[in-house]
Amino acid sequence: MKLRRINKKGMSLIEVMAAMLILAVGILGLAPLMVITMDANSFSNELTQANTVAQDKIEQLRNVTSFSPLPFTQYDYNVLNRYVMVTTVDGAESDPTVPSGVYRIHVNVSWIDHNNLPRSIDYRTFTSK
Amino acid sequence: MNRIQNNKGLTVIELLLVALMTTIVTAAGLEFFIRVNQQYISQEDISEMQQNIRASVEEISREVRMAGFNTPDTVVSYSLINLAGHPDTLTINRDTLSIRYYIDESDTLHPMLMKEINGAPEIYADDISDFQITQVSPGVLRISITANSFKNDDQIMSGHKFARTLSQVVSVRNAN
Repeated sequence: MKLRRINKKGMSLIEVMAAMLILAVGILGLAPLMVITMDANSFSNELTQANTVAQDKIEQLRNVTSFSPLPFTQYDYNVLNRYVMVTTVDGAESDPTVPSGVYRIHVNVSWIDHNNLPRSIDYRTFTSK
Repeated sequence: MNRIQNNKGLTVIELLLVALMTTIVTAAGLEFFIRVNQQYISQEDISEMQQNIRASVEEISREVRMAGFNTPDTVVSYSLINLAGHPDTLTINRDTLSIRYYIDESDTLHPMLMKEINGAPEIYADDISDFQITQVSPGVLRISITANSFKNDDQIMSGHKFARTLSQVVSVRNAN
C-alpha cells in the first residue's frame, strides 16, 4: 500500500515557540494561587486574634454585676495594634427586645486587613442581671 | 514508497540551538516548580502552627474555667509555677483529675506542650515554644502561648522560622 503524506514537514521553530509561549502564560496564571494561600493564612491568623480579643471582652463583662446607664457603650482602639472594638450592653430598659432580667452583650471587632479590605466579627451573648 | 527530498539531517548550529532552548525551558519550569513547592511547604507549616496555637489556647481556657469543679475544699483549684525566662507550669484540679500543662524542652528544636493527667504525660501540641501564665487578679488568669513553625530553616524559602503568640484572659468559674 502506498503511504501518502501530503505535508510531512512537521512544525516549524516559530510554531513550537508560540506554543511554548502560550503554555508559559497559562502556567503563570497559576502563580497568584501562591499569593492567595498566603492571604488566607494571614487572614486566618487575624481572625483568630480578633476572636480571642472579643472573647476576652465578654469574659471581662461577664464578671461585671451591673451596668448603668443603659445602653452601655465602650470603644477600644488599637487593640493589638490592629483592631477596633465596640462593645454595647443593652437591657430591657434600653431595648424592649431584650428580655427582662438579662443583659445583652454585643461585641463588634473590626479591622483593615493587609489588602485594605474591611473585616469584622460580631459576638452576642446574654448574661443575667 | 517513501520519498524524502531533504535527507541532510541537522547542522551542529541547529542542534546546539535546540539544546539551548530545551535547557532554558526546563530550567524555567523547574524554577517555577521549586518556588511553588517551597511556598506549599511553608504555608502548610504556618497553617499547622496556627492550628496548634488555637487548639492549645482553647484547651487550656476550657480547663481553667472548669478548675476547682467538684473537688473537696482542701484541694486548690489551680496552681502556677512561674520561672523568669522560662515557660510556666499550670496545674488544674477538677473532679478527681489533676491536670498539669508544661513545655517539654528536651528537644530544643521542637519543644512540645504537654498535658499530664494524674501523672500520665501526653503530647498536646507540637512546636509550642513558650507558655506564660499570669494571675491578673484572684481567679483571673492570662494565658499566653507562642508557637513556632515546624520546618528547619533551610527548608523554608524565607530562611527563618515563623512564630505566633496568642493570649487570652480567662476567669475560673467553677471553683468551690
